[in-house]
Amino acid sequence: MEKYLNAAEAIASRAMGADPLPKKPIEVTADLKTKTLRRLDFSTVEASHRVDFDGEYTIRLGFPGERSANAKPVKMGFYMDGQLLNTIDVETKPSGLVYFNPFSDAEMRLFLPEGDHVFRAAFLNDEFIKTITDPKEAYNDKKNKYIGSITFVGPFPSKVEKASRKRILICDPKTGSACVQKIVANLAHHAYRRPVSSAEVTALMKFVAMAKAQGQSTEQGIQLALEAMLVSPEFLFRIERDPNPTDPERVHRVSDVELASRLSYFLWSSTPDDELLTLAESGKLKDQTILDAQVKRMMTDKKAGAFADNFAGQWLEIRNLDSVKPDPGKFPAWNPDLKDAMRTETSMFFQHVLAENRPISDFINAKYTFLNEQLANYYGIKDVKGPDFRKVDLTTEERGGVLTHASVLTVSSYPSRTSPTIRGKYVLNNILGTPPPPPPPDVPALDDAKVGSEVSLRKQLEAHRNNPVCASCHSKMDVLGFGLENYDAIGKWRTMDGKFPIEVGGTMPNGKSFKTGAEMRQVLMDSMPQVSRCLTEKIMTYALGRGMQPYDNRALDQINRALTTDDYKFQTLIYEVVRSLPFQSRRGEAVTTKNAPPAKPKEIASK
Amino acid sequence: MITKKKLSRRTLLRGMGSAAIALPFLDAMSPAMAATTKMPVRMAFFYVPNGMILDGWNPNYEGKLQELPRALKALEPFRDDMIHLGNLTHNTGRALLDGAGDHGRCCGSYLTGIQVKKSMVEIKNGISFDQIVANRIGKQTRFPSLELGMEDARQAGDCDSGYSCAYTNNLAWRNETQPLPPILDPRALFERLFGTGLPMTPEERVRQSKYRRSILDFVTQDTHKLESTLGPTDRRKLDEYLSSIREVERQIARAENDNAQIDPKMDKPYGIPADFAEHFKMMSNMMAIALQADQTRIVTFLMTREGSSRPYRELGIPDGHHPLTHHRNQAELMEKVRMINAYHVQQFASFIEKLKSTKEGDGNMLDNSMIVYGAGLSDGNAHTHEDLPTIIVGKGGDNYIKTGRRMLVRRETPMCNLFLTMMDRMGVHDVENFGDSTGKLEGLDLS
Repeated sequence: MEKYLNAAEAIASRAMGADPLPKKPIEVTADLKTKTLRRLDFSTVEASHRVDFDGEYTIRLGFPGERSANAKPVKMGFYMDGQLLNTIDVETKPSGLVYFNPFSDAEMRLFLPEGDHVFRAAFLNDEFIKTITDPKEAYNDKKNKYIGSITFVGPFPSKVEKASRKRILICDPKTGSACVQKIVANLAHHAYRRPVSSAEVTALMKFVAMAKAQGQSTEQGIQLALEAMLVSPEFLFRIERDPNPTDPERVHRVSDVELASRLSYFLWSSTPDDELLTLAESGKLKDQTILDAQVKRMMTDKKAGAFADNFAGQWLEIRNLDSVKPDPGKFPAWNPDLKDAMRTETSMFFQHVLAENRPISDFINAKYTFLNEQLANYYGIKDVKGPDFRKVDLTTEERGGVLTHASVLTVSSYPSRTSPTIRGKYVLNNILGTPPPPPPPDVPALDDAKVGSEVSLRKQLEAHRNNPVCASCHSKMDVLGFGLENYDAIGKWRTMDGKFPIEVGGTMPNGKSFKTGAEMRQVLMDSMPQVSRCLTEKIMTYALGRGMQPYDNRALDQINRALTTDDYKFQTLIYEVVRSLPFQSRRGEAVTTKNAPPAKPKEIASK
Repeated sequence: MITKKKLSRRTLLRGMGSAAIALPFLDAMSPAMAATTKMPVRMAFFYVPNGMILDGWNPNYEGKLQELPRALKALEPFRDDMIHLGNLTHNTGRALLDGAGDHGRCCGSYLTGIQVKKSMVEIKNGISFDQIVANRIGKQTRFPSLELGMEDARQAGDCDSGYSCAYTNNLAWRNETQPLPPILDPRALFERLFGTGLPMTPEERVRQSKYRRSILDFVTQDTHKLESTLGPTDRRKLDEYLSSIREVERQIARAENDNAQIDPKMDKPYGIPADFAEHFKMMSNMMAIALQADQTRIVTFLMTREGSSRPYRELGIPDGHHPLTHHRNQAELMEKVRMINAYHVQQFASFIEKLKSTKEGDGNMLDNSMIVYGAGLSDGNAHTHEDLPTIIVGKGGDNYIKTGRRMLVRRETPMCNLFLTMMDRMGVHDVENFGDSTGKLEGLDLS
C-alpha cells in the first residue's frame, strides 16, 4: 500500500506537472573512474542513470584526448533506452587550449522523462577508429579522442506543455468550479472504467478544496484528487459484481462495462479507451458484430504491443532475459545491446503474427524474422544495415520460428553452457503443453568442466539416461533439446561444441525421427493440434488471470476446433477466446472454500 | 522518544560528524532517562542458500571457541561475540512424502516451521516467527520489519521441482499466503528509509501526512462500500488491502510523532551494483542505520535466493553456485564452494564490525542484538536438513547469550525451539508452540 501511495503520488505529479521543480538543479556525472560509465567498444559508452523529474537537462559530454592536427570531426549520437535523441559534431583535432591532459567537452539540452534509463553515447561512422585495434592506443590521450564522461545537470522547467496535462485539462480550470468538476468526473470515469455517480465526484472534489485550503493551486488540487483515484480499490482492482456472490451454481454474463475492462486488460494491459467505454456504457458491446469489430481494432492498435511484451514475455519466458547472466569469459559477444536486440526480434515477430493474422504455426517455423544490422551480423545474415529492425526473409534452414530466436535459446541455457534438458523441458512446457514431472531428489549435475573438453555433452547425458528412472523423462526432454544444439548458450549458430562436432539428430518417443534442427521443426509442425491446444490454454490463462480447470475443457475444445478449421490463424484464436463462455461470464463462489487461490498481485495499470 | 523535546536531532546531527546518525538513544540526549531507558533488542537473520561444505563450517570441538574454521575466518575478531550452534534441525524441510524440491521447502519453511504446499499457484505456508514479533512490538518503530535481499524477487513461476518462486525468494511471511518480498535495489531501500532524497521541510512533511491520511480515509470508505457485493475470495483481497491501509496509517502516525528525517550521510544510490560486495555494503550499511536509529528492530536478509545459481566472478568462479554444490565430492568443485561460503561470511563480518563499533550504553550495539547467520540446508550436495549451519552473533541484551563458544544441542532439536527463545527475548513471552517446536531452546544463557 505504501508503494501504491508513493507510485500514485509520483504518477499524479508527473501527469499534471503542477508541482514546482526543485529550486537547485542537481549534477550527476557518470565516468570511468567511478565505474558508472561502461565501455561497450572504442567508440561507445553507456551509463544507467535515474532521472528524478520530467524536465529539461543539460547533458555535458567529456572527451579526453586528441587526434592528429588534420583529423576530421566525427558525429556523435546520444541515445536513451536505445532511441537516438540527438546528434552533434565533435572536433577531434587538438583544441589549442592548454590542458595538462588534452580534453574538450560539448553540451546539449534535452527533455528527459522521469525514470530509470540507459544512456549511450557513440561516435558514428568513425573511420579513424577502425585503424586502431590496441586498447592501449585507443585510450591514449595523445593518439585518440574518446568519450570519457556524461554529466547530467537539471532539472530545468520545460516550455513545452505536457501531453498528459493537456489530456487531463479538458477545459480551463481558471473558469471556475464547474470546469474543475468536469475534469475530475472525466478522470474518475477513465480510472474506474465505468460511469461515476455525482456523489463520487463530490467526494473527490473535497481533495481539490483541501489542497486550496493548504494554499496550493487548483491544479495541485486536481492532482491530489487524481492521486486518491489511483489508490482507490475501484482503480486498483478490477471489480466484477455478482448478483449472488456466494452461489457458485449461478453463472451469469459479466456486464458490458466489465467486459470492456476484461478486453482492454487482455489486449492492451491498460484501461479501456473512450470508444470502447462508450460502446459498453450504451450497452452495445454485447452485440457480436460490434464486439468482433472492437477486437479487430484493438489487435491492430499500437497498444497491442503490450500484449506482445506481456504475454510473449511470459509464454516464451523472454522476461528472464533481464536476469540471465551469461559467462562473459565464454560469451564475450553478450552485452546489453545484443540482449535488447534479441528481445525486440521476438516481440516484433509476435506482433507481426498477430497483426497480419498469420497462422500460429509461424511460431514453430517461419521463413522470416525481424532483424537489425547487429542481430543480422550475429546470425550471419548479410545486407541488413542500420539500427532499425525490419522484416527479413530467411534463405537458409539455420533459423526459422521462435525456437531459433536467440532470446529463447538464451533464456533456456545455463550461464556457461547449453542444456538440452532445459531446452527440451522448455519445448514440452511452452510449445507442446506436456510438462515433464519434476526430477527425483539428489540428482547430481553434469560436470561442467568436462563438457566439450573431455567428453561431449551428448555422451554425458546419454550416460545419465542409462538409469531407467532418469530415462523415462529425459528420453522425451533431451531429444528435443539436442535438436537445438546447433545454437550455443546465447543462441549463436555453431557446428562444434569445444572439440566435439554437434550431433543434432534423434528419435521422438512417438517414433518420428529427425537429422537436423530444421527437420525437428517439421516434426513439431506435424503436432500442430497439440501446439495449438497448448497456446490456447496459455492465452486463456493470460486473458482470465487464472489457471485452467477441468470445467474449462469444453470451452478450450471449442476454441481449438474453430482455430483448426480456420488454418490456425492467430486472430481467430483471439476472437474465439473473447467469444468464449469463460471470458464473458462469471459466477459466485461458495463461502466454504478455504483454499481459495491466492490473490494475484495487481499491477498499477500503465497509463 | 522523549529525547526530541530536549534537543533537535538535526542540530545534533550537524555537530556530530559522520559517526552519529539520528539517535533516539544517545546517552547525552537523555540523561534523565539513562537509568530507566532500556536499549531495545534487535534481531536479524542472514540466510545463505545451497548449504555449506561442512568441514569449513563446523569446529570439531565443543565449548570455548578457538581458532575458527575456514568459512568463518572473517569473524575471528568477533569470536567472543558469537555462539556456534550444532544439531538444530528443520524437519519440515525434508521431503516427508512430497518428493523432490528440498531447496523450495527448506527456504519456505525456514522461519515458518511449516511444511509448505508443493504448488506453483496455490501458495500455502504459515506466518513466519519474525512477523509474530513484528505484529507485537512493531508498533514501537517506524517499520515493523524490513525484508532485504540481493538477488531475485520473482514471486511466481517454478523455482524448484514444482515449488513456487515465492518459497525460494522470501524469508518473511505475513500470513499463509502472503510473503513479504525482499527489497533488492539500494535506491528503493534508500527511498523507503530516508524519503526520495530530496529534503522536505517540516511543513511539507506535515502536509504530505495530512493528504495521505485523507486519501486513506477516502479509500477505506470506498472499500467498505464494495465489500458487501463481493464473493469470499474478492473479499479476502479487499481485507488484505484494508490491512495494508491500516499499516500505512500507523506508519504515518509514527512519522508524525517523530517529525525528523534521518540524515543518511550518503548520496542516494543509483541502480544495483554488479559487484556483490559493493551491493552488500550498500544494503547492509542502510540496514545498520535503520537498526541504530531504531527505525526497525527486525530484519531478514536473503543473501541470495535459495537454489541460487549466481556465478561468483568476483572470486574467479564462473560456475553457478547451485550446480557447484552438487559436487559429488570432487575436490575442485568443493573448493569453489568453500570459497563462496567464506566470501559470504566475509561480507557479513563487515556488517558485524559496524554494529560492534557503534557504542550503545556501556557497551555496543552488538550486545543488544541477535544476528543469526545460517543456511536452510546443511550439506548442499546431499540436501540434508539436520545440523543446519547456524551462528548467532551478539548477546541479545542484558548479556543474555553467553557467547564465545560452540554449543551442541541434542540431535534433531527443532530449529523452532530457537525461534521460541528468540521470541521471548524480543518481548513475546506468551507463545508456547511454534511450527514443530518441542519447547524453548535452553542453554544459550549458560556459560
